[in-house]
Amino acid sequence: MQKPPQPLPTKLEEGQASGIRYRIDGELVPVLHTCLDGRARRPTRAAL
Amino acid sequence: MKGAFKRMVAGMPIFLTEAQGPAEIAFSRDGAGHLFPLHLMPGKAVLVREHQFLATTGNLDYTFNRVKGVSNMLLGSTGFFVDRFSASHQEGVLWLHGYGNVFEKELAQNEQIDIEPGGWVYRDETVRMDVQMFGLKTGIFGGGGNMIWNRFTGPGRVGIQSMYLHMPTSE
Repeated sequence: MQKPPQPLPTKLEEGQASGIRYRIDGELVPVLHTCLDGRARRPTRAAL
Repeated sequence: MKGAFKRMVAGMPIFLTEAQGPAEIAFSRDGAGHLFPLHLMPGKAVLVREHQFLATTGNLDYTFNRVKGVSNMLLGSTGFFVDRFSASHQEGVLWLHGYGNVFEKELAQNEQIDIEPGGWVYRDETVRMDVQMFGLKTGIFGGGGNMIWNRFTGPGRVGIQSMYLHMPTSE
């Protein structure tokens, strides 16, 4: 039997990648908080 | 993002905020839904339905394709855009927004799932998408509409949102 689609987590306490730490919280309209350490060679970009 | 200029030439507005640290910055969308990250390893690419993009690290490459036909049938317009994000040399992060809740289906090789056309958010580049269209008849002389969905064939991931809004466009 096929495995059904799984819900993705709605919160993320501590995400990390090169030059950036982030968290996602809030339920109805969630917010992405990012902390840039300034070491990334290219900046983070976001849609307006 | 390199492909952004191409999108402007195509008539699609694309405005991006750029942030460089050290600093903190927060983002959200103007709709109830779900934010989630996709970490892309070097050599990997993901295809994203238009208007689902929220933010990305600056080391991902961007381009887009216009999918014709599907939206013609659905929304009376001339097509829709699919954004492509890829990591070339190092890991990058892409943050997307889906309306309602977002689910992920991991498709095995040749495994398939059918999704209402407004329901998918992203898919791995290894996942093939086809349009399935069925005419609806209401009698011998009766006409009808078309029932349409997208068929996704693995291997790879498909993201599904539980509701969707079609953003107003100039079309």
